[in-house]
Amino acid sequence: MFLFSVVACLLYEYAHVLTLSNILSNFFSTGSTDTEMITFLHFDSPGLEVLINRGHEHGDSPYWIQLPAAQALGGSWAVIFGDALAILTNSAIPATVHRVRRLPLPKSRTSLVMFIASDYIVPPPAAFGPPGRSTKSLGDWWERAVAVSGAVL
Amino acid sequence: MASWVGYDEISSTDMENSNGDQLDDVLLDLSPRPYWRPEPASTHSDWRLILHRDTEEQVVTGGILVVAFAGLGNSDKPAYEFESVLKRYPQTHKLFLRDSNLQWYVPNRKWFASVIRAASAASGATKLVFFGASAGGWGALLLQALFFPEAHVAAFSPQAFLDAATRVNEEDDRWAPYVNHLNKCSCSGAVNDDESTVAGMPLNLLHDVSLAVAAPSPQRPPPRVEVHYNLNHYLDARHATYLRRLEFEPRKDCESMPTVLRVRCVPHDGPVGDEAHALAKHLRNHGVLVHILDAFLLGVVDNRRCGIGSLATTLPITKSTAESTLPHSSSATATDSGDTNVDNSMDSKYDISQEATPCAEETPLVDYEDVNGILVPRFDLDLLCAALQSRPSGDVAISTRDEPCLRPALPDAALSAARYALSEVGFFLLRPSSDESELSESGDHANFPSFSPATEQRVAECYAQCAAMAAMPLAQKQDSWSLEAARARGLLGGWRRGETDLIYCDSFRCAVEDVPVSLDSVKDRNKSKSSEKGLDSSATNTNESVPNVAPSAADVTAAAMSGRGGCLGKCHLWPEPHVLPGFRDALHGYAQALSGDAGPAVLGLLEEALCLPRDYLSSKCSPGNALSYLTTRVYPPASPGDDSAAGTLGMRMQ
Repeated sequence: MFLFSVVACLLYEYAHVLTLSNILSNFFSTGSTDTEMITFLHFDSPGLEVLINRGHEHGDSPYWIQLPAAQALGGSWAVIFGDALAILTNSAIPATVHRVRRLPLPKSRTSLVMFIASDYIVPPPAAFGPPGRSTKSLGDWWERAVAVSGAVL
Repeated sequence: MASWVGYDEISSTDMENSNGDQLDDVLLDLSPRPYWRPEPASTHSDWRLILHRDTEEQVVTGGILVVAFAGLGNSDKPAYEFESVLKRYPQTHKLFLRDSNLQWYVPNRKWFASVIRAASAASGATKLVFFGASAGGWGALLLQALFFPEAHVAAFSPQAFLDAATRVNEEDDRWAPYVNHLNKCSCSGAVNDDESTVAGMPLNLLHDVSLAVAAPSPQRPPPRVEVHYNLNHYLDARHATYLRRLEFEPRKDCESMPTVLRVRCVPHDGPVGDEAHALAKHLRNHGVLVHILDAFLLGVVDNRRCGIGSLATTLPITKSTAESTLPHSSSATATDSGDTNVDNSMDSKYDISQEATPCAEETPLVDYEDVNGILVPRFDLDLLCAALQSRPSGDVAISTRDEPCLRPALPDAALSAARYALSEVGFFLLRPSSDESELSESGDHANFPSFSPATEQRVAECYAQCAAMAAMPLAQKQDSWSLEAARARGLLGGWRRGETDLIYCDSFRCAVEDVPVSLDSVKDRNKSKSSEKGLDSSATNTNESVPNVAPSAADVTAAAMSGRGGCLGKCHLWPEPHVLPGFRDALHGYAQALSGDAGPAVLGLLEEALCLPRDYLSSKCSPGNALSYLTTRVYPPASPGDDSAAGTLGMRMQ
């Protein structure tokens, strides 16, 4: 009976997010990375989530944290890292996996997203190991960069 | 005691004042060195101790005990290493170790640890410093991690892993007979070490050895651990890259400085070819090694650069204390061939007569923000730009004769924070500029507007314009500024309704420079650029058929000037000024300011943090290039009857 009560309370509390689409998106939305080198983010409401990989080499599971609005961060930009930087460093610096969760906010959420892209990328220097170890190849990057640049509008 | 080898080494000619009798009592309890070797047993002694004594031949207790781990060497009998260069420090105690079994100090690690403990007790040393190159570097790191977490380590071209699986994965087949023996040896009973089974062998510094034991406590400053490697030696660089994962130890008990620099990986532009692995020898021959050791020992003395978290416990070092504690002797001269190239003119950089400055506990360049339980570095754009202006030209992080490697442009706290953000957090924060005039003068891209003192006002203007755009009738946006409308005019659309995922939003996109570019010109440039880039020519990605060059601002401008048509993400359809006054100026100005100021500053920070040559990243990101752009997104509020969308996730969204 106690367990039933707990479940009922949880269902009541989180009924607004327990739609099928929400459940599916929570299970299957693994986030994405940006194609570019770095991205400056400035947003007036929370919603952006970043995957924290810290400690995964010691067995800790990655987890998401939600970033507050820029005002709560002193007006600062959040700077995340993209695929181009990962390729240039042979994934020594992995691209930031992120996603947006739509929250039940009373007002609209606006974000200013500035992508700083590289003109070109080259294989990483020897210090980062041989080329090709990164998850994305130069060719993949180029295809995606051009696609994002000219086609997806 | 007859089986104790190495006792006679104490009274060697290298240490005239040494007195083995004084050590006898100390070392009596040591067991004989166990045997472990694929070949017949070695009878070599594996240690040699030189104590610092005063003029009356009394051991001067305290100070530093330097332990030099020898590598494999080129002969059957490894030679002690760092002997000549350590003569520069007569005020230190010195213990030279070698593993005659050529087994990387692994099977007999406890025995070597007992030797170090005995030597430490005999000398009364308060600080341990380990030096080693190649296998010696591995030994230094291993012993420090396993037994001496307080020891400071400078390793040159060390191995980070010896286990077969990682070696195969990294294609490292060096010293195969010895390493294979270490991996597969079933020398049961051959070693006087109850942990000498293969399964118990620590053969991987990342997985088998927890360097976390070296993490500091409030009572003990963190050790200073440096890994010097040759950028031009692929496998050594791989090992260093492996160790780089251990660079930072997050600290949750220190809010202002939450990271500890656990391992500092220092790249060097060393030799190529057969001599590439012999980095220490190269540095010694070029007079750099002594300066590295000077700086290292000086740092050990005053706890400088020992880790960000240790700075709070660091006491200011005065001239007198520095002179009395530093084990360096300027009068010491190198007498053997190994130190003939010492450049005394460089001593001023590490001159102990200069008043040592206390470590700065914090730098205003960076602080930390608690973001839902994660401490995230926040850099100040103004101070970052100013600091990067002082960067010398050339490869700042690569040591040369004129510029030793330990001279980054940014303070350690900033480097540590950036590396922490890169490797642990995945993002960082950037505080906006506050002084337009200063930025305008210091910025490299004067043609782009800097952020004004009223940065908040500019940002607020962008938000207002985005809201105004979102409030426009949907039909008008689709008809006037969408992709379809733009195509009809030979342009690209600025407005779109983002609905690629579960979240839809009102989006507008603009490029930094809004001029046309010819795709043909891009292709032509790709061909020429590929042949121009030195790195491209040396690249081994021969399978890449896709060009790795994209148009830059110069190409865009050139294409525009030439009058060739065709847009590549450049020509956007803006709303007319009378419809949305100020829209274009607000967004375009914001994009240009970020691209011109903040972008190069952040890339410079990353170059410093990654020990990359200056402009390595920023040279590839010309401001306003074709692929840089600003996207604004306005997500509508969740209406009372629209709960279904709340909580949904979007992947390609910010």
